[in-house]
Amino acid sequence: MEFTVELNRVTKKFGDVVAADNVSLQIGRGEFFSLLGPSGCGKTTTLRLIAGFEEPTEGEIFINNENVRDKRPYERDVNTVFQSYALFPHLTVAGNIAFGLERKKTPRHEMGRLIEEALDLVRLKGMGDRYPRQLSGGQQQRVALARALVLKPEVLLLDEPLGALDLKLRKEMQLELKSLQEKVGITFIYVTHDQEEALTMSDRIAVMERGRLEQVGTPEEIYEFPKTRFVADFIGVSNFFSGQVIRAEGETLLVRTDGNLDVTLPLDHGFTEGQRVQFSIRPEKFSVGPQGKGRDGENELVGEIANRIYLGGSIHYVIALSAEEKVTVFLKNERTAGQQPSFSVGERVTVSWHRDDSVILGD
Amino acid sequence: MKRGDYLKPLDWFTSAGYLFLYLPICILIAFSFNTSRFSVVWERFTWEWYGRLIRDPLVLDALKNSVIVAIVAMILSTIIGTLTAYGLYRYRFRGKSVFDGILFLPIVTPEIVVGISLVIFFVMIKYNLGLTTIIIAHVAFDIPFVMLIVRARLQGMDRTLEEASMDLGADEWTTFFKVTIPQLLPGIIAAALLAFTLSFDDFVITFFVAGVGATTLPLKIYSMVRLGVSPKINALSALIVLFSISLITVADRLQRMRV
Ligand SMILES: Nc1ncnc2c1ncn2[C@@H]1O[C@H](COP(=O)(O)OP(=O)(O)OP(=O)(O)O)[C@@H](O)[C@H]1O
Ligand SMILES: [Mg+2]
Repeated sequence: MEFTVELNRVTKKFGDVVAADNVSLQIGRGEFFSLLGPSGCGKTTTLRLIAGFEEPTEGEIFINNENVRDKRPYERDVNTVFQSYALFPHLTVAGNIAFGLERKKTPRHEMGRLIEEALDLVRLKGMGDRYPRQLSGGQQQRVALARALVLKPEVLLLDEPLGALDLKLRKEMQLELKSLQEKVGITFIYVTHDQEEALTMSDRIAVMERGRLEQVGTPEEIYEFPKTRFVADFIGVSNFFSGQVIRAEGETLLVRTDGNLDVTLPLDHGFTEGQRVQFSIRPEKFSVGPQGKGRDGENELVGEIANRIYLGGSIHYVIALSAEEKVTVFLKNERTAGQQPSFSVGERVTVSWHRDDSVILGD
Repeated sequence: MKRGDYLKPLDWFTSAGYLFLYLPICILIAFSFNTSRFSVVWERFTWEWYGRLIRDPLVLDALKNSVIVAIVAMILSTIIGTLTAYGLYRYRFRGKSVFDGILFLPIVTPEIVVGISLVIFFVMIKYNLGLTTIIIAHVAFDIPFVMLIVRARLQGMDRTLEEASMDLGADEWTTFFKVTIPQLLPGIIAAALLAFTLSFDDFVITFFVAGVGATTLPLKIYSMVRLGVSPKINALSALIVLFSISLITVADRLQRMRV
């Protein structure tokens, strides 16, 4: 595979703070790649390292297979959409978009056409003569996008570009951005701390925590097979268990949890008898039936409904499986005129799930 | 009690303060239109003193000197002050905090001390006193004021604008001229106007470094006063006051302006 951006063991320290810790990444041509993580985990720093606003303390960065160590930001074929948009207040919208074209010495007549095209692309036709302060937040955001896209960079870096918008506009712009990216075919490196945004838009996601990459994968991989407790916890909801391996049996690992529940996990050759193991199960992987009537899956445990939240389309339960172990379970609302398979608080039920829906976590 | 009543004493103090500041100046201006030679009694309105003023070759010569000095000092101090302020803001180097700290020093140093030290300096390097030494002295005392104003503007500037500029392909110089300067422009113009005014109005420092023959307006007024106060001096002072106030008002407006 051809990479547009490659980070090789990149570390960035600010005094004692390690903002990026041994980060290695390979981002493919035309990919929509997200950096996801909580505030202060080093997302912006990673982006600034690629753009050239920061120099790595250690490691190397390649853009189009070229080491960019000695390249200033204006010599790199990447453009940035800043979180604050950073539009030039003394220039009109057209002036802002023209800024990069002028630096490239684009001929006058061609410039006019390119600016029109760019305005068209972000649906701001006819707004070229306005000043940034005369635009709404969403419009400013699109000018920032147009200003970068008009230069046709290999890579576009976006730092929480939708962060300042309200929820509704944010959702709209997510779809717009995604389809725009598919249309222009440019590699997007997209920083966000919103997991839902990352899941809906990205081809691949890198989850960061305290400067380190926790996991890199497709949205599905990240959600279904989180590698660490942090990832399982940060993305979606997870039920965590820890326990001790009893023995391996065929394709199965038998585990006794700390709450004394016997469960089966998919075989992992890293584990031997007596070893501690941590695993998680997503709330929608469970099925629930009346006591003694387990529904689906190799694991069956009896529990008591401790809490019930009715959400219309779905119902969330908290079910106590042992004194210390409670699980959160999301069930689809299956109520029809004929039947009412819903459970009430205090009712004893059988909770079941498939062996392979348990995900073993590293540290 | 209404809120207005409660504030009454404060209103009163404010008015008294302004009266204290401006009444002498108003009287000075009023008497520049008085026909009487002896400034204390009002007779009739006249433009005569202004007429005499603009026909006095010595006054015109001093005006010419003042304008030359103020313009040259303004240009030099604005350029040097702006670049220095930018350098201090932008780059990190050893002893930066010291430089930041001593920025105010020339401003609070008594003018008479600055004047004496400059004249000693010029004598020491055997430089003849005249217009050039006045200009050098004025550039020196203008610079910290320019730096203060430009620095205030810089601190309000969005750093990411410069990054955005570089990101879009502009090198350091292009960024400075196309993005930084336009952001700072209101501050730079305000600083230039202030530098012009300070230089145009300065008496103490100029008095020391002027030498013979190079007379500026304030020096001229001083020598006229020594021969006795006349409404002509009132007229000249009134003109200088009005001119300075208008420049400073513009500068103040500019300094508050958002780009
Ligand atoms: N110029 C700097 N000087 C010192 N420390 C810095 C600097 N820039 C970033 N840091 C530190 O590096 C760490 C990572 O910062 P970064 O801005 O990359 O986080 P982020 O993931 O973008 O967070 P957010 O979601 O809040 O924007 C933080 O602890 C921050 O305080
Ligand atoms: Mg950030």
